[in-house]
Amino acid sequence: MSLSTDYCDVLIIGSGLAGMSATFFSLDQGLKTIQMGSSCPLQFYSGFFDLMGTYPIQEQKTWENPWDGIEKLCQDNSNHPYAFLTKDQIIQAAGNWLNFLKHLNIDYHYIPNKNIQAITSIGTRKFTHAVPNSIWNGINAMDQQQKALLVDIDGLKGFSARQIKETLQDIWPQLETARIIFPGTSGEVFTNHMANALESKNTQEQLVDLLMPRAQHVESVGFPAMLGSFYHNEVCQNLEKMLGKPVFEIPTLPLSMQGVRIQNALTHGLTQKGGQLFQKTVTQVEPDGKYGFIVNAEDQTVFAKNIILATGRFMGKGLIAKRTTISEPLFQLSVYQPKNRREWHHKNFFDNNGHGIHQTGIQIDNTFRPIDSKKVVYDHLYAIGTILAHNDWMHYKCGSGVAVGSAFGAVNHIASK
Amino acid sequence: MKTQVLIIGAGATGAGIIRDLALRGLQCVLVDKKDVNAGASGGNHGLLHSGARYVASDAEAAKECADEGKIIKEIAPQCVEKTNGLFIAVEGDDDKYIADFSDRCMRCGITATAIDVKDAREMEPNISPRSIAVYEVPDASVDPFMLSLDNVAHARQLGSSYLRFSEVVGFDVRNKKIETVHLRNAQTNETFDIQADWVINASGAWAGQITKMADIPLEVLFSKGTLLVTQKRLSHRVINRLRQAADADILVPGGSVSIIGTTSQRISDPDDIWPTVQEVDAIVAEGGVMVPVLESTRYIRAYCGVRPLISQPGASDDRNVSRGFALIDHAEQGVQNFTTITGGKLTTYRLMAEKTSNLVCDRMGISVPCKTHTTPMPSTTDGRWTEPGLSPQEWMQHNRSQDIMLCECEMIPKTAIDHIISNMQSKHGKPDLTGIGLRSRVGKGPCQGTYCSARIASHMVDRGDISGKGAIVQLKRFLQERWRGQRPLLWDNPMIQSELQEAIHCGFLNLDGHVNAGEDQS
Repeated sequence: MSLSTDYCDVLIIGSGLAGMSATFFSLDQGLKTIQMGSSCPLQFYSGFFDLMGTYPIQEQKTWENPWDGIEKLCQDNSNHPYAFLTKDQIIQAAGNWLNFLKHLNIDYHYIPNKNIQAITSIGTRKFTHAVPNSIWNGINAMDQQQKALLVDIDGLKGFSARQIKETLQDIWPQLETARIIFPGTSGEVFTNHMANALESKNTQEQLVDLLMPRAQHVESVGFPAMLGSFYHNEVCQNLEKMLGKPVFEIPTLPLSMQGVRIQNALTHGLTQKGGQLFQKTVTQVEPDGKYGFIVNAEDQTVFAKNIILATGRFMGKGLIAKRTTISEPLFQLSVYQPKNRREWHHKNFFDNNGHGIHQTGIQIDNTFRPIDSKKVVYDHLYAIGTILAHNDWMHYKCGSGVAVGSAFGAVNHIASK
Repeated sequence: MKTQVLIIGAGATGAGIIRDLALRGLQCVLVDKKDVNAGASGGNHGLLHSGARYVASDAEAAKECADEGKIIKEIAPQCVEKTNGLFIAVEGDDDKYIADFSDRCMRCGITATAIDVKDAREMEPNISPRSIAVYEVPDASVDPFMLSLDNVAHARQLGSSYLRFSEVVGFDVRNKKIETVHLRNAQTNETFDIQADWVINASGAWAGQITKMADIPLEVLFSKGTLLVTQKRLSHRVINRLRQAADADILVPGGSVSIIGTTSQRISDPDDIWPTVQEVDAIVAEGGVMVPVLESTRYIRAYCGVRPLISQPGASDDRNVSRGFALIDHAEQGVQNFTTITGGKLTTYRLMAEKTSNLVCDRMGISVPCKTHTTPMPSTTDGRWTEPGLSPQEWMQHNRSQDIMLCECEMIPKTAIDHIISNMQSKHGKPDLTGIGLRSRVGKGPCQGTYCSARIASHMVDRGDISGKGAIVQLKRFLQERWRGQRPLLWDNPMIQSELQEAIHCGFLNLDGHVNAGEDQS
């Protein structure tokens, strides 16, 4: 038996970037909104806000201006989720979203109509549109050819300042490195522990004392993403004040603190805005003539007028791969997919065509409602984010834009009804 | 560089030969264009045959296996897990084959004990409820990597050397002798020469390519066999199907995993081998008849090896002609100091090495007898990290809490990686991520190298083993090599894992991209 029953205008299933942004847009429209998410996928988020980096991938064409890339993509492929949105809609979606994050003290830096080349944890670079300020400071230092110090931590695996320096050598020869033992640690260390520790003024001072001898003659100081958790901005400000120069962060392999901060800020911010966010797994959905859908999630029943499906792909269990087919488990929606498993993946992991599996997903019409044989399946069901067919976010580098854009498109259609 | 005997190919046979000759007091050099067990020696079940599999098809091979199995268990116990094995027939299997099995085993000197089906299912709960006859035989599992690494390590202790990434590119043949062997370092492209009194070609599937450099034709056919590794160990014993040898009828446990295989498919190029989706599906379906849980268990990797077949007319199934080995003295073809050994099976590698060494010593006028059947093989640290499930035990025993775990799935600490790297450095060539994978369980756990590959690459840059840009090349190469074995197995959880891997390496690190194009170099 259910312990509680709720009613809402919009139920969002999924708590990744698509689910979070749909929750925001829905609340912004004044709709009663519930979100059900079974895990915290945003912890895996690098914080890079990608609109469009590479298209066509066969030619590995990268775009200085993401909108040119999106335009080219939509000309070629009328099934890509972007093709169901206008440029103005995507601009508005991205703008509103980044403003909301700013309101939650997560400040993004971007230049309208421009991509920037962000630095990764192994020193490779990636085209993205917007990054949190602490990351931007590093990219800026590189662009300005600043003399900078990049710090790494004894016992923190998968992050080598020397590796980043060597990989970026040709474009940032002035980058120096230093390895320190983080105050009060020995053996293996983790960024979330250090981030929490750094929220104390005392630890900040100890860190600065350690760095001062090396930091004196540089213009900025970089770290793996570990400068605070809830009080990230304060930690950065304090360190900058004590060091007398800007600090920057480079995201680590997941779980990266960038993602953890965004996850925490959104959970708090969307609740404050009136959303009901539950960490529960939706186990069953039934269409209901009167109220749209009846949804069971563990001990809870929700009557939802509309559902937005933002369950992601395989990691989010929005799609399930069996030996012969790929299915969608909640609504048994028709899943566009290659003919058989042989065509799911190429022999080369880095194949320039991208794998067949990345075309797999839910097909929609221009209102973001799933279709089967060109017909809308349920009037009140929407699908957004990476579960959508043909999006290939990993290779096009368009995941954030598709997530936020499709969320915006779906919510707008609900609100207009 | 000068040496008494140059051995080409660091598979089980080449590794066995260098130890055999070293024990006879010869100074040898072993070279491989890739690394230890890069060919068929690394692409098999890791089964130390009792011989029971061959009692019907080849009684002589069965006896050889029975004898050799006993010797390996004695001299290299560190490489062997004495699991025993079951032969199981299920409903519908050939009655005559079942009825003759026990007698045939006895005639070959193999103890086969009939087991009541009900008892067998208590001993091995995963075998089919439709089993109709069961025998227990002295099969065992063997770690082929540890075996070859220990063979090579012992030979090195005795004064011989091993050069990785050293590809033979040509011979200077004068006066009916190979005077000089030309080699190329596959990592640096530098060429170098070795003068040897004798050259042994133990290059397996590549044997014909090597003899061709001395203008000696040798037709080698290639039969690909594919195997699957399960995430969990599914049985205590080796499980064989009690029938004429066919596809997917052996399940071998090793440490914390099990391996099911194999298949047999004629291919044209031994350097272009891929486990395919069709093979995987066939193995899962056929293996499931014997051990039903194979239909639903999680697989972590597929791999394949190439059986070299010396062309023999009239053979219908490659499996049935491939077990014997060919030892060829090339004197008759006009080269006096050149011998080829190819084919055979892992279980009889020592015997092949003995026969080859006997021939070579005889022709060189050396009369020291073989010692490998009695001399214990020292357990070295070279092979220590290859065994599934061993690292966690070591780590727990030594309570290395200050040691950072670079590979969490298989619990491989930084100190182990450091040890493996320094060991690789002593064998010519630069340390590389793929070589670390070969010498340890790195990348073989459920995460398929998603995290540990990047962490170890960073660690190697910190140590100064590779450059930052070199790390990108190494990462891509390592992931591609792992991908070969993951691709046909991507459903259920492995699909989720592979999505995370691609999200990190392509979506975030942009390793598929060209932002760093033109800067990549090893």
